Amino acid sequence: MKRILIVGATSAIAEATARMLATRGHAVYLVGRNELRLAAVAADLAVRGSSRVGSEVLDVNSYAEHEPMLHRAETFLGGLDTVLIAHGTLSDQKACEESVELTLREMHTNGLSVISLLTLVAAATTSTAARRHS
Amino acid sequence: MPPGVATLSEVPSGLVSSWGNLIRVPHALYNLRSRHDPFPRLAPGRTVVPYGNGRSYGDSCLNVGGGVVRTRALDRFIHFDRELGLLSCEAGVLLEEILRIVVPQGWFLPVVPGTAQVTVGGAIANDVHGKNHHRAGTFGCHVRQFELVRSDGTRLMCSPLENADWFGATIGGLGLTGVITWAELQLRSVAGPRLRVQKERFHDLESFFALSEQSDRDYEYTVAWIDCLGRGRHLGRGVMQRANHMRWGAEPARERREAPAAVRSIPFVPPVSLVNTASLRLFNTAYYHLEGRQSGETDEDYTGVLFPLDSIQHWNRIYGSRGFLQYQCVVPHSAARRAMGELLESIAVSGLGSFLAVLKRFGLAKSPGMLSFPMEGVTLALDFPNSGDAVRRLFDRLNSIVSAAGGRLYPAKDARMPGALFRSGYPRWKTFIRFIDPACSSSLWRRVMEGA
Repeated sequence: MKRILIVGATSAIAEATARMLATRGHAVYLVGRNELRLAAVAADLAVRGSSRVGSEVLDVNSYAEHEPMLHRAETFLGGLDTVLIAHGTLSDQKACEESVELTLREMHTNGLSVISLLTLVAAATTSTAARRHS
Repeated sequence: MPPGVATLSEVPSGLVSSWGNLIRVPHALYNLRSRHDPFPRLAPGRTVVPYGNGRSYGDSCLNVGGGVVRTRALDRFIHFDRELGLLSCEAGVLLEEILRIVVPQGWFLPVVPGTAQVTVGGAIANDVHGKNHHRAGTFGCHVRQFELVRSDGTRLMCSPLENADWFGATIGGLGLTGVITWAELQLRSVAGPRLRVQKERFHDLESFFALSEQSDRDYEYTVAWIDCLGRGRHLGRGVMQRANHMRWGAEPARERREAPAAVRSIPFVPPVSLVNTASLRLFNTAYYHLEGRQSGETDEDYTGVLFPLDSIQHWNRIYGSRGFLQYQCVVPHSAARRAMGELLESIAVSGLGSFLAVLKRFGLAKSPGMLSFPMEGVTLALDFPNSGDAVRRLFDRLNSIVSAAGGRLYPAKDARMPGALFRSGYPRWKTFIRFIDPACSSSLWRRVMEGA
């Protein structure tokens, strides 16, 4: 049994992956923006066989929330083995060319937020590994 | 134009067909992604019919000139009470997906049709039946509740106690009362995935009736495969297949199901039907003589017994580019012997039938839907390659036999029945009309309402 965090859990690719993980009994913590859709995915994974399913609503552009979210996920799962980052938007290239504001927002959502999450995840999993080593 | 309202040209369109492959026609495509989605916003005058996995044979899931609401992406489970066997799921979940999850936990769907590749919404909207009708009635008998979403924005919870009239109209309601978004089903317990199967050959129609009555007493699943080329003293000869779920203790409980057998596929549509008189005679004679050979019992996985064709993907392609028609009727017991004899004789004379006809006695269970197909009596089903005029003439002949016997045809399998036959077979259609959503229609519905 693995402990898996999925960010952007209502995206099609994340949901399909999560179903495969649930069938094998893995524990998952789901993060997404839309509360209703997130609850629907969480309930589905529980029926499909996931041993433990947690979730929370988060907009990944709230960077300050990344660390507390990771902490809650780790606490809920009792550690972290795998993280799947699957959030993102399909940016409208034409519209971005005409709007600085939109361009920056898209870069936050699809680029910087991922870097922020990965940096924190790397630190967290390295320290877990170090603890396990010692 | 206010934002958020798509013009017609903005709604994507695509080719839609049904299982019979008779036509492929452009439809406006609307997709539901979640059970919380609203009914799609349509241009005034535009209609839709819900479309699940496209296993209806004829035109009940088509809406030529209009659109379809695709529900297959509503494929999430909601809750499974493992103690009571209560399962809630979205309407686009396939029966196959349900069985894969519940069978290893000791549960089974109380009613399954001949394929597990249908959605829950489709199973309700066609009030499907199976080989255990004499014990369990129809699929709708085991639906505890469902949500119906209407084009005026209302969301109705329907059960035998709440909005019971909508419950009765929507079960077997051919998708015309609105869109079913999710449902709660009562499952039945089983010891495991295996069935104990027994086959018995019978030599004519009279022996079918005798054997059938006896089999229904001892077996949960009974169905007869008829050689539809048999005439004279061979008329109605066939093989009776009977099965029961294996009991507790007969096998290791809660065993994991073995990996399913490799799925084969018909990879392309051949230019002409591979089913013709020559191949048919060979197959039917061989089946009759080989299948009924041993009268012993065998233990088999449920998939091969209950869903024999599901292991061949796209088997419908075998009938070629003109597609095929299925004919399924039911006639009351009082007229069954005579009517079945006449039907089988007409089919044998025509030489147009496909491999095997299926014959089964329906039980006493009252169907819960206003337009449910099953009633007490005997049902006959078989496929015909679409040979145009010849098959149309045969259907006219079969229709008159069914009509004279006080029977009716199954809309889910139908592409040809005349309006008058529908209306005489389903006298409650006049009550049903009041429940139709003004934004819903289908090619079948317009056809059977012609001349009303």
